Amino acid sequence: MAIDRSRTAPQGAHRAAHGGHAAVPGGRSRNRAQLTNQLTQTLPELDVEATRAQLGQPVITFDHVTKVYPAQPNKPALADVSLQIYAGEFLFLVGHSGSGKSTFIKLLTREIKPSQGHIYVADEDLSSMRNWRVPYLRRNIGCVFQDFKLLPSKTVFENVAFALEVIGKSKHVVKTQVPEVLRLVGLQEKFGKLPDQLSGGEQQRVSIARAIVNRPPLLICDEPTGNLDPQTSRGIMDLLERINRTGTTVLVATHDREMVDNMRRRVIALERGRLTRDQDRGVYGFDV
Amino acid sequence: MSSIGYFFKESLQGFARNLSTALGSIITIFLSLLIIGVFFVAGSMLNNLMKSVESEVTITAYVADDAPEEDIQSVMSTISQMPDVAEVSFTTKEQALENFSNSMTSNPEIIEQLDGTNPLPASIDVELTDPQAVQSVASSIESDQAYVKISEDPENAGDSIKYGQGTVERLFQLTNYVRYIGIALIVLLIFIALVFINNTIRLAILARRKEIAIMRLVGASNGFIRGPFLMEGALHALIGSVLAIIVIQLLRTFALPQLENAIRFLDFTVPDMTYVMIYVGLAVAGVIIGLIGSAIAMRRYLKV
Repeated sequence: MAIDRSRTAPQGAHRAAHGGHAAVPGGRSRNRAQLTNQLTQTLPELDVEATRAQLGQPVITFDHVTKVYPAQPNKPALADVSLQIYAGEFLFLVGHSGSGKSTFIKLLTREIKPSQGHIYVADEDLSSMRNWRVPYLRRNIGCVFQDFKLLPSKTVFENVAFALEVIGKSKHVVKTQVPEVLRLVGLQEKFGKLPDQLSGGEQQRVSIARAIVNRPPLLICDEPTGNLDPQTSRGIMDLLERINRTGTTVLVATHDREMVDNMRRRVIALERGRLTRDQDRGVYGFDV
Repeated sequence: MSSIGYFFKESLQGFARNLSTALGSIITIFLSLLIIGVFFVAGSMLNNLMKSVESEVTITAYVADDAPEEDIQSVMSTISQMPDVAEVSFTTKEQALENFSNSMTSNPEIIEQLDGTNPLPASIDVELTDPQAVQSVASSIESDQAYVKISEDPENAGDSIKYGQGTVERLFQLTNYVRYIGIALIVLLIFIALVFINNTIRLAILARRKEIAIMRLVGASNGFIRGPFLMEGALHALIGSVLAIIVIQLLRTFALPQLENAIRFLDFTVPDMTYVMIYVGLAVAGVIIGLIGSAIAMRRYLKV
Protein backbone atom coordinates (compact mmCIF):
# COMPACT_ATOMS: atom_id res chain seq x y z
CA MET A 1 0.00 0.00 0.00
CA ALA A 2 1.85 3.06 -1.23
CA ILE A 3 0.41 5.68 1.03
CA ASP A 4 1.88 8.43 3.07
CA ARG A 5 1.37 7.16 6.60
CA SER A 6 2.19 10.39 8.38
CA ARG A 7 -0.59 11.90 10.46
CA THR A 8 -2.05 15.22 9.60
CA ALA A 9 -2.47 16.48 13.13
CA PRO A 10 0.34 17.84 15.29
CA GLN A 11 -0.24 15.16 17.94
CA GLY A 12 0.39 12.49 15.39
CA ALA A 13 3.90 11.88 16.54
CA HIS A 14 2.56 10.09 19.64
CA ARG A 15 0.63 7.60 17.73
CA ALA A 16 3.40 5.36 16.70
CA ALA A 17 3.05 1.87 18.08
CA HIS A 18 -0.69 1.86 18.11
CA GLY A 19 -2.59 -1.19 17.11
CA GLY A 20 -0.11 -3.61 18.50
CA HIS A 21 -0.57 -2.37 22.06
CA ALA A 22 -3.98 -0.86 21.92
CA ALA A 23 -5.21 -2.74 24.96
CA VAL A 24 -2.61 -1.24 27.28
CA PRO A 25 -3.57 2.37 27.88
CA GLY A 26 -0.70 4.57 28.90
CA GLY A 27 1.86 1.90 28.21
CA ARG A 28 2.07 2.84 24.62
CA SER A 29 4.52 5.70 24.55
CA ARG A 30 6.79 4.04 27.11
CA ASN A 31 6.81 0.89 25.03
CA ARG A 32 7.60 2.78 21.95
CA ALA A 33 10.41 4.69 23.62
CA GLN A 34 11.95 1.41 24.71
CA LEU A 35 11.56 -0.04 21.29
CA THR A 36 13.07 2.94 19.58
CA ASN A 37 15.95 2.79 22.06
CA GLN A 38 16.63 -0.83 21.30
CA LEU A 39 16.41 -0.20 17.62
CA THR A 40 18.72 2.77 17.64
CA GLN A 41 21.25 0.78 19.69
CA THR A 42 21.32 -2.18 17.35
CA LEU A 43 20.61 -0.48 14.06
CA PRO A 44 21.55 3.16 14.40
CA GLU A 45 20.66 4.22 10.89
CA LEU A 46 17.23 2.56 10.72
CA ASP A 47 14.40 4.75 9.54
CA VAL A 48 12.19 5.14 12.55
CA GLU A 49 9.17 6.16 10.45
CA ALA A 50 9.35 2.90 8.53
CA THR A 51 9.57 0.82 11.71
CA ARG A 52 6.58 2.63 13.10
CA ALA A 53 4.59 1.83 10.01
CA GLN A 54 5.30 -1.87 10.42
CA LEU A 55 4.30 -1.94 14.07
CA GLY A 56 0.72 -0.88 13.57
CA GLN A 57 -1.01 -1.82 10.35
CA PRO A 58 -3.79 0.69 9.78
CA VAL A 59 -7.13 -1.01 9.08
CA ILE A 60 -8.57 2.18 7.61
CA THR A 61 -6.67 4.79 5.66
CA PHE A 62 -8.10 8.00 4.26
CA ASP A 63 -5.73 9.35 1.66
CA HIS A 64 -6.53 12.98 0.76
CA VAL A 65 -10.23 12.23 0.53
CA THR A 66 -12.56 14.88 -0.81
CA LYS A 67 -16.28 14.43 -1.26
CA VAL A 68 -18.34 16.96 -3.17
CA TYR A 69 -22.07 16.42 -3.51
CA PRO A 70 -23.55 17.47 -6.84
CA ALA A 71 -26.10 19.66 -5.04
CA GLN A 72 -23.36 21.83 -3.51
CA PRO A 73 -20.43 21.87 -5.92
CA ASN A 74 -18.66 24.72 -4.14
CA LYS A 75 -18.91 23.38 -0.64
CA PRO A 76 -17.22 20.00 -0.22
CA ALA A 77 -18.69 17.78 2.49
CA LEU A 78 -15.21 16.46 3.15
CA ALA A 79 -12.11 18.32 2.00
CA ASP A 80 -8.72 16.67 1.72
CA VAL A 81 -9.04 14.42 4.75
CA SER A 82 -6.13 12.10 5.44
CA LEU A 83 -5.96 9.86 8.48
CA GLN A 84 -5.35 6.33 9.57
CA ILE A 85 -7.24 4.15 11.98
CA TYR A 86 -5.47 1.20 13.55
CA ALA A 87 -6.80 -2.17 14.55
CA GLY A 88 -8.25 -2.23 18.03
CA GLU A 89 -8.64 1.53 18.41
CA PHE A 90 -11.57 3.27 20.04
CA LEU A 91 -12.10 6.68 18.54
CA PHE A 92 -14.59 9.48 18.51
CA LEU A 93 -15.56 11.47 15.47
CA VAL A 94 -16.81 14.85 16.60
CA GLY A 95 -18.09 17.93 14.85
CA HIS A 96 -21.15 20.09 14.45
CA SER A 97 -24.04 19.12 12.23
CA GLY A 98 -22.96 19.42 8.64
CA SER A 99 -19.31 19.04 9.44
CA GLY A 100 -19.04 15.87 7.42
CA LYS A 101 -19.42 13.11 10.03
CA SER A 102 -22.16 11.31 8.18
CA THR A 103 -20.30 11.64 4.89
CA PHE A 104 -17.26 10.12 6.60
CA ILE A 105 -19.30 7.11 7.71
CA LYS A 106 -21.07 6.70 4.39
CA LEU A 107 -17.70 6.70 2.66
CA LEU A 108 -16.49 3.95 4.97
CA THR A 109 -19.45 1.68 4.23
CA ARG A 110 -19.16 2.59 0.56
CA GLU A 111 -22.64 3.99 0.32
CA ILE A 112 -20.95 6.80 -1.56
CA LYS A 113 -17.63 7.06 -3.34
CA PRO A 114 -15.07 9.83 -2.73
CA SER A 115 -14.82 12.55 -5.39
CA GLN A 116 -11.06 12.57 -4.98
CA GLY A 117 -8.56 10.56 -3.01
CA HIS A 118 -8.62 6.97 -1.85
CA ILE A 119 -10.01 5.09 1.09
CA TYR A 120 -8.49 1.79 2.06
CA VAL A 121 -10.21 -0.67 4.35
CA ALA A 122 -8.05 -3.69 5.13
CA ASP A 123 -5.83 -2.91 2.15
CA GLU A 124 -8.71 -2.73 -0.28
CA ASP A 125 -9.32 0.50 -2.21
CA LEU A 126 -13.00 1.37 -1.83
CA SER A 127 -13.01 3.74 -4.80
CA SER A 128 -12.12 0.97 -7.21
CA MET A 129 -14.08 -1.76 -5.42
CA ARG A 130 -16.54 -3.62 -7.64
CA ASN A 131 -20.19 -3.20 -6.70
CA TRP A 132 -20.76 -6.88 -6.08
CA ARG A 133 -18.03 -6.90 -3.44
CA VAL A 134 -19.61 -4.14 -1.38
CA PRO A 135 -21.85 -6.51 0.62
CA TYR A 136 -18.75 -8.44 1.68
CA LEU A 137 -17.15 -5.20 2.85
CA ARG A 138 -20.27 -4.44 4.90
CA ARG A 139 -20.16 -7.84 6.55
CA ASN A 140 -16.92 -6.66 8.11
CA ILE A 141 -18.38 -3.41 9.37
CA GLY A 142 -21.05 -3.33 12.05
CA CYS A 143 -23.25 -0.23 12.05
CA VAL A 144 -25.29 1.29 14.86
CA PHE A 145 -27.53 4.30 14.35
CA GLN A 146 -29.29 6.89 16.43
CA ASP A 147 -32.70 5.59 15.35
CA PHE A 148 -31.84 1.91 15.99
CA LYS A 149 -33.31 0.71 12.67
CA LEU A 150 -35.01 -2.33 14.16
CA LEU A 151 -37.79 -4.21 12.41
CA PRO A 152 -40.95 -3.60 14.46
CA SER A 153 -42.63 -6.85 13.47
CA LYS A 154 -39.75 -9.04 14.56
CA THR A 155 -38.79 -9.97 18.10
CA VAL A 156 -35.44 -9.09 19.65
CA PHE A 157 -34.11 -12.52 18.80
CA GLU A 158 -35.43 -12.37 15.24
CA ASN A 159 -34.02 -8.92 14.68
CA VAL A 160 -30.54 -10.09 15.58
CA ALA A 161 -30.97 -13.41 13.78
CA PHE A 162 -32.08 -11.54 10.64
CA ALA A 163 -28.58 -10.10 10.24
CA LEU A 164 -27.15 -13.61 10.14
CA GLU A 165 -29.89 -15.17 8.03
CA VAL A 166 -29.63 -12.68 5.21
CA ILE A 167 -25.91 -13.28 4.80
CA GLY A 168 -26.61 -16.97 4.50
CA LYS A 169 -25.48 -18.26 7.88
CA SER A 170 -26.79 -21.67 8.88
CA LYS A 171 -29.54 -22.21 11.45
CA HIS A 172 -26.96 -23.71 13.77
CA VAL A 173 -24.83 -20.56 13.71
CA VAL A 174 -27.94 -18.45 14.35
CA LYS A 175 -28.98 -20.59 17.30
CA THR A 176 -25.60 -20.37 18.99
CA GLN A 177 -24.44 -16.85 18.19
CA VAL A 178 -27.63 -14.86 18.72
CA PRO A 179 -28.18 -15.87 22.39
CA GLU A 180 -24.51 -15.35 23.06
CA VAL A 181 -24.43 -11.83 21.70
CA LEU A 182 -27.73 -10.95 23.40
CA ARG A 183 -26.22 -12.04 26.70
CA LEU A 184 -23.18 -9.89 25.95
CA VAL A 185 -25.34 -6.79 25.56
CA GLY A 186 -27.37 -7.69 28.64
CA LEU A 187 -30.67 -8.65 27.05
CA GLN A 188 -30.81 -12.32 28.00
CA GLU A 189 -34.29 -11.81 29.51
CA LYS A 190 -35.84 -10.13 26.47
CA PHE A 191 -35.44 -12.59 23.58
CA GLY A 192 -39.12 -12.72 22.71
CA LYS A 193 -39.97 -9.04 23.20
CA LEU A 194 -40.87 -6.77 20.30
CA PRO A 195 -38.85 -3.55 19.89
CA ASP A 196 -41.91 -1.48 20.94
CA GLN A 197 -41.90 -3.21 24.31
CA LEU A 198 -38.33 -2.14 25.07
CA SER A 199 -36.86 1.09 26.39
CA GLY A 200 -34.67 3.22 24.14
CA GLY A 201 -31.48 1.98 25.73
CA GLU A 202 -32.58 -1.63 25.33
CA GLN A 203 -33.47 -1.03 21.70
CA GLN A 204 -30.03 0.40 21.12
CA ARG A 205 -28.53 -2.69 22.74
CA VAL A 206 -30.47 -4.85 20.29
CA SER A 207 -29.13 -2.80 17.45
CA ILE A 208 -25.57 -3.14 18.81
CA ALA A 209 -26.10 -6.88 19.17
CA ARG A 210 -27.21 -7.03 15.56
CA ALA A 211 -24.17 -5.04 14.48
CA ILE A 212 -21.67 -7.32 16.23
CA VAL A 213 -23.37 -10.71 15.92
CA ASN A 214 -21.32 -11.48 12.82
CA ARG A 215 -18.17 -10.43 14.73
CA PRO A 216 -17.02 -7.66 12.41
CA PRO A 217 -13.55 -6.24 13.08
CA LEU A 218 -14.94 -2.71 12.81
CA LEU A 219 -17.97 -1.22 14.57
CA ILE A 220 -19.26 2.19 13.46
CA CYS A 221 -21.75 4.02 15.64
CA ASP A 222 -23.49 7.12 14.30
CA GLU A 223 -24.78 9.09 17.30
CA PRO A 224 -25.52 5.91 19.26
CA THR A 225 -26.64 7.86 22.32
CA GLY A 226 -28.37 10.70 20.49
CA ASN A 227 -31.83 9.62 21.64
CA LEU A 228 -30.90 8.42 25.11
CA ASP A 229 -30.65 10.02 28.53
CA PRO A 230 -27.17 10.49 30.05
CA GLN A 231 -27.34 7.46 32.34
CA THR A 232 -28.50 5.08 29.63
CA SER A 233 -25.86 6.59 27.35
CA ARG A 234 -23.22 5.74 29.90
CA GLY A 235 -24.37 2.13 29.84
CA ILE A 236 -24.20 2.04 26.05
CA MET A 237 -20.69 3.51 26.05
CA ASP A 238 -19.59 0.91 28.64
CA LEU A 239 -20.89 -1.75 26.33
CA LEU A 240 -19.01 -0.27 23.38
CA GLU A 241 -15.86 -0.19 25.46
CA ARG A 242 -16.35 -3.84 26.40
CA ILE A 243 -16.74 -4.69 22.70
CA ASN A 244 -13.59 -2.70 21.97
CA ARG A 245 -11.68 -4.74 24.54
CA THR A 246 -12.43 -7.91 22.58
CA GLY A 247 -10.33 -6.42 19.78
CA THR A 248 -13.01 -4.74 17.71
CA THR A 249 -12.12 -1.32 16.34
CA VAL A 250 -14.86 1.10 17.41
CA LEU A 251 -15.61 4.41 15.73
CA VAL A 252 -18.23 6.60 17.41
CA ALA A 253 -19.58 9.73 15.78
CA THR A 254 -21.11 11.87 18.49
CA HIS A 255 -22.27 15.23 19.75
CA ASP A 256 -22.04 14.09 23.35
CA ARG A 257 -19.42 16.38 24.90
CA GLU A 258 -19.56 14.78 28.32
CA MET A 259 -19.02 11.33 26.90
CA VAL A 260 -15.97 12.30 24.89
CA ASP A 261 -14.46 14.29 27.73
CA ASN A 262 -14.99 11.46 30.23
CA MET A 263 -13.62 8.67 28.11
CA ARG A 264 -10.47 10.34 26.93
CA ARG A 265 -9.98 8.37 23.75
CA ARG A 266 -8.64 9.38 20.39
CA VAL A 267 -10.73 12.22 18.99
CA ILE A 268 -11.01 13.21 15.36
CA ALA A 269 -12.65 16.60 14.87
CA LEU A 270 -14.21 17.71 11.64
CA GLU A 271 -15.16 21.28 10.88
CA ARG A 272 -16.84 22.24 7.62
CA GLY A 273 -15.45 19.14 6.00
CA ARG A 274 -11.88 19.64 7.15
CA LEU A 275 -9.98 17.55 9.63
CA THR A 276 -9.09 20.10 12.28
CA ARG A 277 -7.87 17.92 15.11
CA ASP A 278 -6.65 14.36 15.63
CA GLN A 279 -5.83 13.90 19.25
CA ASP A 280 -4.95 10.98 21.49
CA ARG A 281 -6.97 10.93 24.70
CA GLY A 282 -8.69 14.05 23.46
CA VAL A 283 -11.68 16.08 24.52
CA TYR A 284 -14.78 17.22 22.66
CA GLY A 285 -13.24 20.66 22.30
CA PHE A 286 -16.08 22.53 20.62
CA ASP A 287 -18.05 25.28 22.27
CA VAL A 288 -21.62 24.20 22.58
CA MET B 1 -30.53 -24.26 -1.05
CA SER B 2 -32.10 -22.57 1.89
CA SER B 3 -32.29 -19.15 0.27
CA ILE B 4 -34.66 -20.45 -2.44
CA GLY B 5 -37.03 -21.43 0.35
CA TYR B 6 -36.57 -18.00 1.89
CA PHE B 7 -37.30 -16.28 -1.45
CA PHE B 8 -40.41 -18.36 -1.87
CA LYS B 9 -41.68 -17.55 1.62
CA GLU B 10 -40.99 -13.86 1.15
CA SER B 11 -42.64 -13.71 -2.26
CA LEU B 12 -45.75 -15.41 -0.89
CA GLN B 13 -45.85 -12.84 1.90
CA GLY B 14 -45.51 -10.08 -0.66
CA PHE B 15 -48.41 -11.63 -2.53
CA ALA B 16 -50.61 -11.55 0.54
CA ARG B 17 -49.54 -8.02 1.42
CA ASN B 18 -50.52 -6.47 -1.91
CA LEU B 19 -53.35 -8.73 -2.91
CA SER B 20 -55.13 -6.22 -5.15
CA THR B 21 -52.08 -5.17 -7.15
CA ALA B 22 -50.89 -8.75 -7.32
CA LEU B 23 -54.27 -9.75 -8.73
CA GLY B 24 -54.02 -6.84 -11.16
CA SER B 25 -50.73 -8.01 -12.55
CA ILE B 26 -51.83 -11.64 -12.64
CA ILE B 27 -54.97 -10.71 -14.57
CA THR B 28 -53.10 -8.56 -17.09
CA ILE B 29 -50.58 -11.31 -17.67
CA PHE B 30 -53.39 -13.82 -17.93
CA LEU B 31 -55.26 -11.76 -20.52
CA SER B 32 -52.14 -10.95 -22.50
CA LEU B 33 -51.02 -14.55 -22.64
CA LEU B 34 -54.56 -15.72 -23.38
CA ILE B 35 -54.76 -13.46 -26.41
CA ILE B 36 -51.24 -14.38 -27.46
CA GLY B 37 -52.11 -18.06 -27.12
CA VAL B 38 -55.37 -17.71 -29.04
CA PHE B 39 -53.44 -15.97 -31.81
CA PHE B 40 -50.96 -18.78 -31.98
CA VAL B 41 -53.67 -21.43 -32.06
CA ALA B 42 -55.55 -19.50 -34.75
CA GLY B 43 -52.31 -19.07 -36.65
CA SER B 44 -51.60 -22.76 -36.71
CA MET B 45 -55.21 -23.47 -37.72
CA LEU B 46 -54.82 -21.06 -40.61
CA ASN B 47 -51.55 -22.70 -41.54
CA ASN B 48 -53.19 -26.10 -41.63
CA LEU B 49 -56.07 -24.70 -43.62
CA MET B 50 -53.68 -23.28 -46.18
CA LYS B 51 -51.93 -26.58 -46.50
CA SER B 52 -55.20 -28.35 -47.21
CA VAL B 53 -56.26 -25.69 -49.72
CA GLU B 54 -52.95 -26.02 -51.48
CA SER B 55 -53.25 -29.78 -51.67
CA GLU B 56 -56.70 -29.44 -53.20
CA VAL B 57 -55.46 -27.26 -56.01
CA THR B 58 -56.51 -28.78 -59.36
CA ILE B 59 -56.48 -27.39 -62.86
CA THR B 60 -59.75 -27.36 -64.73
CA ALA B 61 -59.39 -26.89 -68.49
CA TYR B 62 -62.81 -26.30 -70.04
CA VAL B 63 -63.54 -27.82 -73.37
CA ALA B 64 -65.83 -26.53 -76.13
CA ASP B 65 -69.17 -28.37 -76.46
CA ASP B 66 -68.44 -29.42 -80.02
CA ALA B 67 -64.91 -30.74 -79.48
CA PRO B 68 -64.34 -34.18 -81.04
CA GLU B 69 -63.80 -37.08 -78.67
CA GLU B 70 -60.42 -38.14 -80.13
CA ASP B 71 -58.96 -34.64 -79.85
CA ILE B 72 -59.91 -34.55 -76.20
CA GLN B 73 -58.31 -37.97 -75.68
CA SER B 74 -55.04 -36.86 -77.28
CA VAL B 75 -54.89 -33.63 -75.24
CA MET B 76 -55.47 -35.64 -72.07
CA SER B 77 -52.60 -37.96 -72.88
CA THR B 78 -50.31 -34.99 -73.65
CA ILE B 79 -51.21 -33.44 -70.31
CA SER B 80 -50.58 -36.68 -68.43
CA GLN B 81 -47.05 -36.69 -69.89
CA MET B 82 -46.31 -33.28 -68.35
CA PRO B 83 -44.10 -33.11 -65.22
CA ASP B 84 -45.81 -32.73 -61.80
CA VAL B 85 -49.11 -34.08 -63.12
CA ALA B 86 -50.60 -36.84 -61.00
CA GLU B 87 -53.87 -37.66 -62.70
CA VAL B 88 -55.95 -36.47 -65.60
CA SER B 89 -59.70 -37.08 -65.78
CA PHE B 90 -62.62 -35.91 -67.89
CA THR B 91 -65.85 -34.39 -66.65
CA THR B 92 -68.70 -34.43 -69.12
CA LYS B 93 -71.34 -31.72 -69.30
CA GLU B 94 -73.85 -33.98 -67.55
CA GLN B 95 -71.45 -34.76 -64.74
CA ALA B 96 -70.66 -31.07 -64.35
CA LEU B 97 -74.35 -30.27 -63.96
CA GLU B 98 -74.79 -33.06 -61.47
CA ASN B 99 -71.81 -31.88 -59.40
CA PHE B 100 -73.19 -28.38 -59.50
CA SER B 101 -76.66 -29.38 -58.40
CA ASN B 102 -75.18 -31.51 -55.66
CA SER B 103 -73.29 -28.54 -54.25
CA MET B 104 -76.43 -26.41 -54.48
CA THR B 105 -78.81 -28.65 -52.54
CA SER B 106 -79.48 -25.79 -50.14
CA ASN B 107 -80.96 -23.61 -52.87
CA PRO B 108 -82.49 -25.90 -55.49
CA GLU B 109 -84.32 -22.97 -57.13
CA ILE B 110 -81.11 -22.13 -59.02
CA ILE B 111 -81.28 -25.50 -60.76
CA GLU B 112 -84.98 -25.04 -61.45
CA GLN B 113 -84.26 -21.71 -63.10
CA LEU B 114 -82.01 -23.50 -65.61
CA ASP B 115 -85.16 -24.97 -67.13
CA GLY B 116 -83.49 -28.21 -68.20
CA THR B 117 -80.76 -26.49 -70.25
CA ASN B 118 -77.13 -27.18 -69.39
CA PRO B 119 -74.88 -24.14 -69.55
CA LEU B 120 -71.93 -25.92 -67.96
CA PRO B 121 -69.00 -26.94 -70.20
CA ALA B 122 -67.20 -30.27 -70.13
CA SER B 123 -63.70 -30.12 -68.69
CA ILE B 124 -60.36 -31.89 -68.36
CA ASP B 125 -59.40 -32.05 -64.66
CA VAL B 126 -55.74 -32.22 -63.78
CA GLU B 127 -54.50 -33.20 -60.31
CA LEU B 128 -50.97 -32.30 -59.42
CA THR B 129 -48.22 -33.96 -57.38
CA ASP B 130 -46.82 -30.60 -56.34
CA PRO B 131 -49.31 -27.79 -55.73
CA GLN B 132 -46.54 -25.21 -56.15
CA ALA B 133 -46.23 -26.24 -59.83
CA VAL B 134 -49.81 -25.22 -60.63
CA GLN B 135 -48.80 -22.10 -62.54
CA SER B 136 -46.25 -23.79 -64.81
CA VAL B 137 -48.52 -26.74 -65.64
CA ALA B 138 -51.39 -24.37 -66.41
CA SER B 139 -49.25 -22.34 -68.81
CA SER B 140 -47.96 -25.44 -70.60
CA ILE B 141 -51.54 -26.60 -71.14
CA GLU B 142 -52.41 -23.14 -72.41
CA SER B 143 -49.55 -23.20 -74.95
CA ASP B 144 -50.47 -26.67 -76.18
CA GLN B 145 -51.88 -26.12 -79.70
CA ALA B 146 -54.07 -29.22 -79.54
CA TYR B 147 -55.81 -27.87 -76.46
CA VAL B 148 -56.18 -24.38 -77.91
CA LYS B 149 -58.16 -25.93 -80.76
CA ILE B 150 -60.68 -27.65 -78.50
CA SER B 151 -60.89 -24.86 -75.87
CA GLU B 152 -64.09 -22.85 -75.54
CA ASP B 153 -62.49 -19.80 -77.13
CA PRO B 154 -59.45 -20.57 -79.33
CA GLU B 155 -58.58 -16.84 -79.46
CA ASN B 156 -58.12 -16.78 -75.71
CA ALA B 157 -57.38 -20.27 -74.45
CA GLY B 158 -56.04 -18.99 -71.12
CA ASP B 159 -59.53 -17.96 -70.02
CA SER B 160 -60.71 -21.56 -70.27
CA ILE B 161 -58.15 -22.78 -67.75
CA LYS B 162 -59.10 -22.33 -64.10
CA TYR B 163 -56.88 -23.26 -61.21
CA GLY B 164 -58.10 -21.00 -58.43
CA GLN B 165 -55.78 -18.16 -59.39
CA GLY B 166 -55.36 -15.77 -56.51
CA THR B 167 -57.10 -17.90 -53.86
CA VAL B 168 -53.85 -19.11 -52.40
CA GLU B 169 -52.29 -15.69 -52.71
CA ARG B 170 -55.27 -14.10 -51.01
CA LEU B 171 -55.04 -16.59 -48.19
CA PHE B 172 -51.37 -15.75 -47.81
CA GLN B 173 -52.25 -12.07 -47.64
CA LEU B 174 -54.89 -12.74 -45.01
CA THR B 175 -52.46 -14.66 -42.83
CA ASN B 176 -49.95 -11.85 -43.19
CA TYR B 177 -52.51 -9.29 -42.01
CA VAL B 178 -53.47 -11.52 -39.13
CA ARG B 179 -49.79 -11.91 -38.29
CA TYR B 180 -49.09 -8.14 -38.28
CA ILE B 181 -52.14 -7.32 -36.21
CA GLY B 182 -51.23 -10.17 -33.90
CA ILE B 183 -47.66 -8.98 -33.44
CA ALA B 184 -48.77 -5.40 -32.76
CA LEU B 185 -51.35 -6.59 -30.26
CA ILE B 186 -48.88 -8.92 -28.57
CA VAL B 187 -46.28 -6.17 -28.23
CA LEU B 188 -48.88 -3.87 -26.72
CA LEU B 189 -50.11 -6.51 -24.31
CA ILE B 190 -46.60 -7.44 -23.24
CA PHE B 191 -45.90 -3.77 -22.60
CA ILE B 192 -49.03 -3.46 -20.45
CA ALA B 193 -48.12 -6.61 -18.57
CA LEU B 194 -44.63 -5.26 -17.91
CA VAL B 195 -46.07 -2.01 -16.57
CA PHE B 196 -48.37 -3.89 -14.22
CA ILE B 197 -45.65 -6.21 -12.93
CA ASN B 198 -43.35 -3.23 -12.54
CA ASN B 199 -45.97 -1.51 -10.42
CA THR B 200 -46.66 -4.54 -8.27
CA ILE B 201 -43.01 -5.12 -7.57
CA ARG B 202 -42.49 -1.44 -6.82
CA LEU B 203 -45.16 -1.64 -4.14
CA ALA B 204 -43.59 -4.81 -2.78
CA ILE B 205 -40.23 -3.03 -2.59
CA LEU B 206 -41.77 -0.01 -0.86
CA ALA B 207 -43.51 -2.26 1.65
CA ARG B 208 -40.19 -3.82 2.57
CA ARG B 209 -37.83 -0.87 2.28
CA LYS B 210 -36.93 -0.96 5.97
CA GLU B 211 -35.92 -4.57 5.74
CA ILE B 212 -34.00 -3.87 2.57
CA ALA B 213 -32.10 -1.05 4.25
CA ILE B 214 -31.09 -3.39 7.06
CA MET B 215 -30.16 -6.16 4.66
CA ARG B 216 -27.87 -3.77 2.83
CA LEU B 217 -26.46 -2.59 6.13
CA VAL B 218 -25.47 -6.02 7.35
CA GLY B 219 -24.09 -7.02 3.97
CA ALA B 220 -26.70 -9.25 2.37
CA SER B 221 -25.60 -9.91 -1.18
CA ASN B 222 -27.44 -8.14 -3.98
CA GLY B 223 -28.76 -11.44 -5.26
CA PHE B 224 -30.20 -12.24 -1.87
CA ILE B 225 -31.98 -8.89 -1.68
CA ARG B 226 -33.32 -9.16 -5.24
CA GLY B 227 -34.29 -12.82 -5.05
CA PRO B 228 -37.70 -12.46 -3.39
CA PHE B 229 -38.81 -9.74 -5.82
CA LEU B 230 -37.71 -11.67 -8.88
CA MET B 231 -39.47 -14.69 -7.44
CA GLU B 232 -42.61 -12.67 -6.79
CA GLY B 233 -42.73 -11.30 -10.34
CA ALA B 234 -42.09 -14.72 -11.81
CA LEU B 235 -44.75 -16.26 -9.57
CA HIS B 236 -47.42 -13.77 -10.66
CA ALA B 237 -46.52 -14.35 -14.28
CA LEU B 238 -46.59 -18.10 -13.84
CA ILE B 239 -50.05 -18.00 -12.24
CA GLY B 240 -51.25 -15.77 -15.08
CA SER B 241 -49.88 -18.09 -17.73
CA VAL B 242 -51.35 -21.19 -16.09
CA LEU B 243 -54.76 -19.48 -16.08
CA ALA B 244 -54.32 -18.61 -19.76
CA ILE B 245 -53.39 -22.20 -20.58
CA ILE B 246 -56.42 -23.51 -18.69
CA VAL B 247 -58.76 -21.15 -20.53
CA ILE B 248 -57.31 -22.05 -23.92
CA GLN B 249 -57.70 -25.71 -23.11
CA LEU B 250 -61.32 -25.08 -22.07
CA LEU B 251 -61.95 -23.20 -25.30
CA ARG B 252 -60.46 -26.10 -27.19
CA THR B 253 -62.64 -28.71 -25.53
CA PHE B 254 -65.91 -26.77 -25.43
CA ALA B 255 -65.92 -23.90 -27.91
CA LEU B 256 -63.99 -25.48 -30.78
CA PRO B 257 -66.52 -28.28 -31.48
CA GLN B 258 -69.26 -25.63 -31.69
CA LEU B 259 -67.21 -23.70 -34.22
CA GLU B 260 -66.53 -26.82 -36.23
CA ASN B 261 -70.25 -27.56 -36.29
CA ALA B 262 -71.07 -24.07 -37.45
CA ILE B 263 -68.46 -23.93 -40.21
CA ARG B 264 -68.45 -27.44 -41.64
CA PHE B 265 -66.31 -26.98 -44.72
CA LEU B 266 -63.21 -25.74 -42.83
CA ASP B 267 -60.90 -28.01 -40.92
CA PHE B 268 -59.88 -26.61 -37.55
CA THR B 269 -57.90 -29.54 -36.25
CA VAL B 270 -54.43 -28.72 -34.96
CA PRO B 271 -52.15 -31.50 -33.78
CA ASP B 272 -51.93 -32.06 -30.00
CA MET B 273 -48.21 -31.47 -30.18
CA THR B 274 -48.81 -27.91 -31.41
CA TYR B 275 -51.05 -27.23 -28.41
CA VAL B 276 -48.42 -28.61 -26.04
CA MET B 277 -45.77 -26.42 -27.63
CA ILE B 278 -47.98 -23.34 -27.40
CA TYR B 279 -48.68 -24.06 -23.72
CA VAL B 280 -45.01 -24.51 -22.90
CA GLY B 281 -44.22 -21.36 -24.87
CA LEU B 282 -46.85 -19.38 -22.93
CA ALA B 283 -45.52 -20.53 -19.57
CA VAL B 284 -41.94 -19.69 -20.53
CA ALA B 285 -42.96 -16.32 -22.03
CA GLY B 286 -44.95 -15.53 -18.88
CA VAL B 287 -42.03 -16.24 -16.57
CA ILE B 288 -39.70 -14.19 -18.75
CA ILE B 289 -42.17 -11.26 -18.75
CA GLY B 290 -42.41 -11.54 -14.96
CA LEU B 291 -38.66 -11.58 -14.49
CA ILE B 292 -38.08 -8.65 -16.84
CA GLY B 293 -40.88 -6.62 -15.24
CA SER B 294 -39.51 -7.10 -11.74
CA ALA B 295 -35.94 -6.52 -12.92
CA ILE B 296 -37.01 -3.15 -14.34
CA ALA B 297 -38.74 -2.27 -11.08
CA MET B 298 -35.66 -3.21 -9.08
CA ARG B 299 -33.37 -1.17 -11.29
CA ARG B 300 -35.52 1.86 -10.65
CA TYR B 301 -36.53 1.48 -7.05
CA LEU B 302 -34.01 -0.82 -5.42
CA LYS B 303 -30.54 0.58 -5.10
CA VAL B 304 -28.27 -2.16 -3.92
